[in-house]
Amino acid sequence: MNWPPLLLHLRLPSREGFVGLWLPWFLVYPILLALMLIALPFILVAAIFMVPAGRARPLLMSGPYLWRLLFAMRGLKMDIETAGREMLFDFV
Amino acid sequence: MSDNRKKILEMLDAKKITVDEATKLLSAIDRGDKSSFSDERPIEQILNRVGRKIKYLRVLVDNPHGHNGEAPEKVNVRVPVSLIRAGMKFTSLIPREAGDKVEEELRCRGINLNIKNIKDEDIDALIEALAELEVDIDGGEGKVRVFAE
Repeated sequence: MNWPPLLLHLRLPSREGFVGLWLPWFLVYPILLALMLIALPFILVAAIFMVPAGRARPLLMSGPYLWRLLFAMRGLKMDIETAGREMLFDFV
Repeated sequence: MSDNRKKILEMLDAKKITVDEATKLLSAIDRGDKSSFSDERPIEQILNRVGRKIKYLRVLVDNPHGHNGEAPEKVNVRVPVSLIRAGMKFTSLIPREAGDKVEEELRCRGINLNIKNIKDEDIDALIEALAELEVDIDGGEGKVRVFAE
């Protein structure tokens, strides 16, 4: 099983050099889950109307696929250093 | 028989590598490991690379002189393979009309790819092929390196 990222390590450029931040990324999941549950009835109704157009599947599957994408982000790292300024995104 | 040859045959016997991969590696040894592989990558490293599971795709850009000849520029990107796999799944959500347009555009650029019918096996094959990917570009202004680890 893939563990989802729990923290987001940010390093943003500032006047003194950079500012390091450890953000609690795990808080995103309950918020997102709550939003998805609220949106679920509306999505189901919209999907029923979209069945004749053949667009119901993408609408229904976008939620689980988005969830899967979020869970797969652990280890994603972008470290950019340009003109003496450094920027870092690291999903831990 | 050299150690490397023995190792390749053992890996083939253990079905860690295919016959094609073994042939490529053996021919690389026959060539004296000069044409395909540089001195920095001995055959040992290549043997270790074949048949292993990759976890990340790395992109490294190093420009010591910077864009305008000022401070150096560096980019270090690490993309988990699971993210690539999850991203590829999104192609199945592309509406048919949009998929047709993308395919047509790709065909115009000489890439014959059927993005609407990408199956799990195709994604697995693509990920497997990434294990052997290694791009090294050493230009006058900097270096770009793409590899799997």
